[in-house]
Amino acid sequence: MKHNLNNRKDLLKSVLQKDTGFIAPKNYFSGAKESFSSFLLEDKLPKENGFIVPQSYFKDIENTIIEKAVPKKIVKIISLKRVLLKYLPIATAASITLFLSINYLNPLSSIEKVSFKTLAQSDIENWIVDNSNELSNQDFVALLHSNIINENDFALTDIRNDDIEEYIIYLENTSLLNENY
Amino acid sequence: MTNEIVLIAQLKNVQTKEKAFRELISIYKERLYWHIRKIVISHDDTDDVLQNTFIKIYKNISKFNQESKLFSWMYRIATNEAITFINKRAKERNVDISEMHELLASSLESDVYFSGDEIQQILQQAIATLPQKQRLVFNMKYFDEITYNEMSEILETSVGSLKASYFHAVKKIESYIKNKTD
Repeated sequence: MKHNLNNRKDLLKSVLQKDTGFIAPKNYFSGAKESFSSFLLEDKLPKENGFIVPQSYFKDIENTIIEKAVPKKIVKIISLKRVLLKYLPIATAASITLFLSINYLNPLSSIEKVSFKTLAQSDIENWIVDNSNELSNQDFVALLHSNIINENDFALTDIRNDDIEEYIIYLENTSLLNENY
Repeated sequence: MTNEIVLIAQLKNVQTKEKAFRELISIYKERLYWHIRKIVISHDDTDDVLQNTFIKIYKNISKFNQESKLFSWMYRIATNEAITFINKRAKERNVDISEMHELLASSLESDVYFSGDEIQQILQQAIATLPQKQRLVFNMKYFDEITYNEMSEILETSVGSLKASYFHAVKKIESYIKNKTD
């Protein structure tokens, strides 16, 4: 069997002389070399371009783009100083109004109305001593004139005429010499 | 596709816009970054352009009429932003755009964010010599493996024109590399 097979191979070899029988057009290969050179070049060239990017560039770029492209929602920042300056006069006015309302307009206020009758005599005397500089002689005369019921209470008899004259001269107040008084 | 429709609807709704936008960034940030990076070369410039791209997407999402895919629309914005950026830089430095691209490619040697070997550097320099459209097409087809149909939608150019651009780009790159390495 093996012998027969070898015989057939030899027979084919002798008949075909390893030729397939296909033929190509004349000058085909010289022209084809030119035509295919582009494709041959592509095979020789690198597909990598050698460009590199910084580490984590693609990770960070997303946020950078979003920050620049997407308009930020505007958050209105109000300065504390501006608020204070705006509301301080209002607050002050309100405080004063409240204070006055509590103290003067509130009917439940415990502050009693001050009248001359409610004052103790010692208080009046103390006030007169403390404020004597502010009271003129005329003030005293006016007050005393209306309240002197009994002239004898003054015990004018005990005052000498010389003393009265000296006192008048010392005061240099001629109004006391007015006869109407 | 369903997910994309839902995402677009969320992006157009004021209540869900921010959350959807976060998702959008998360999905597309890397793809858009690499697309921009291949145009502007430097990482710092890419970072600026990428941020501007997403800001533009956020602001204009209401105008997106869904005639194209969301990704194509975003890719188009990124491409325009990157090209505008390069043009602006060229104007500032008083050089023309092709010169600007070559300057950028030559700066790779000292770029801390470039770790490519010699052949990768030569390839970038070769790409920099290409006209703008060919450069875009080559990058999108060769590195990003975007189909011609998708590319057609993004760049609003016919598939045939894109194929021709790619073919010319490859030929020019081959020629540049041969000159450099011989």
